[in-house]
Amino acid sequence: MSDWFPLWLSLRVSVIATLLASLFGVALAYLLAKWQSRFTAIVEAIFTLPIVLPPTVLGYYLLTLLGTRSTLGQGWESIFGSPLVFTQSGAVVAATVSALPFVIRAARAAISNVDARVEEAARVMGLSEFRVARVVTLPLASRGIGAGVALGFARALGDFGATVMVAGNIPGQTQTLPVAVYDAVQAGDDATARTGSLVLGAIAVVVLILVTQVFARRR
Amino acid sequence: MTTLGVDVRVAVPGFVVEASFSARGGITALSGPSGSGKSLTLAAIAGTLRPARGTIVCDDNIFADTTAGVHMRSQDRRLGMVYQHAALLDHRSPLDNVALAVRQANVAMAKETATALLERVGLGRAMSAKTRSLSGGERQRVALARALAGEPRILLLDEPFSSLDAASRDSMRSLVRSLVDERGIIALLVTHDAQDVTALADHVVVYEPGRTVSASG
Repeated sequence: MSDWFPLWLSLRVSVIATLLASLFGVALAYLLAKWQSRFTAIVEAIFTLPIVLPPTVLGYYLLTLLGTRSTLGQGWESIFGSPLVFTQSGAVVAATVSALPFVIRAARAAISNVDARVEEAARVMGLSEFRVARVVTLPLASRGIGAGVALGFARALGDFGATVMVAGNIPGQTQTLPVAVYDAVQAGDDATARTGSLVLGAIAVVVLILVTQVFARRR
Repeated sequence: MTTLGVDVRVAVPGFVVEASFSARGGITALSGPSGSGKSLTLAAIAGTLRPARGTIVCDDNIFADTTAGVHMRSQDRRLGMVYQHAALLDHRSPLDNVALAVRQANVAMAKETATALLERVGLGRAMSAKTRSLSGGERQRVALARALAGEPRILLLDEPFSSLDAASRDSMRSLVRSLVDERGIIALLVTHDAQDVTALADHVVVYEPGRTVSASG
């Protein structure tokens, strides 16, 4: 593969997307785990949609929500001076939304599994709710959260459908590695398709080993 | 001297307990068979459970008053609590576990207080050990030091000896005795072990399933 741009773009986009998805996802998972009601079930269902929807359909929703004619899209344009869609930022949004459900679901389960008595003990000894979360709950849930973040990263790195819809397929600008593989196959460029696929496959294997061997190991 | 007045009904799905007693200085044992509602009473005093009805008053602080809709947060009640299983933070050192409970924003000073407490409970050399590697008796000592770190008015002890072997149980009992006397605080000891009552209790509140029947002492 002569052009490594798609790999670097993919890595950059998925790292930023994973950071965003982790910040937002862990905060939301904490709220979902602590305040259970019918409302939280609906919120959880909405944020799980990206797992079950066809990525192109997810991309279509995002395009509709963030496109140049939408309120959000116009808001973005008035702040940053250029549209969000068909840019690298658009790719980050698509990857973030794809990664979110993995972070939320894993973090929610891990936070719910923290021994309530240990949290109670911390409250009784005077720790504020924020400190209970920071000192007790999140550290005890860190392995489960880590597994979700790793899966989210793998999902962000591998996204094709949503990225193509929201960020397009502009070589040297928004063409991520999965999209470049598709392009290479269409163009009969076997060598590029093979290299790209091997790289993505290798990263996925490493992430899965991390998830099953490091994060899932019991304390 | 601190006084605690409890007159509550505490309900959880499938179980209700009516508890009425008061405690002043020294160790008050809440004694009775398992499942009679002793720990639920303690949870209501700790503020981790809202009583269904009634009042809990400590000196001039109203912990809970269902008629007036008052429910003071656990954090504000100035309590120390030791559970049957120490409920320690295994990912932090024993020193950190205790220092976190010191009501002192300055970390160095909090650690100083925590060090003194750990030395007092006989764990001076295990301060930086891995919390997970401590024995059951050592864990309960850390839990006791942690419970005292916030300078509580009331020490709540929920079956603190029942998971210990006989030797650690004896030394933990005398440790509780001397610390409660030193600090002049109230301790409520939930236990179903008659030996705990004989060895430690200055006052006894007797539970039958679902209610307190008598207070003596």
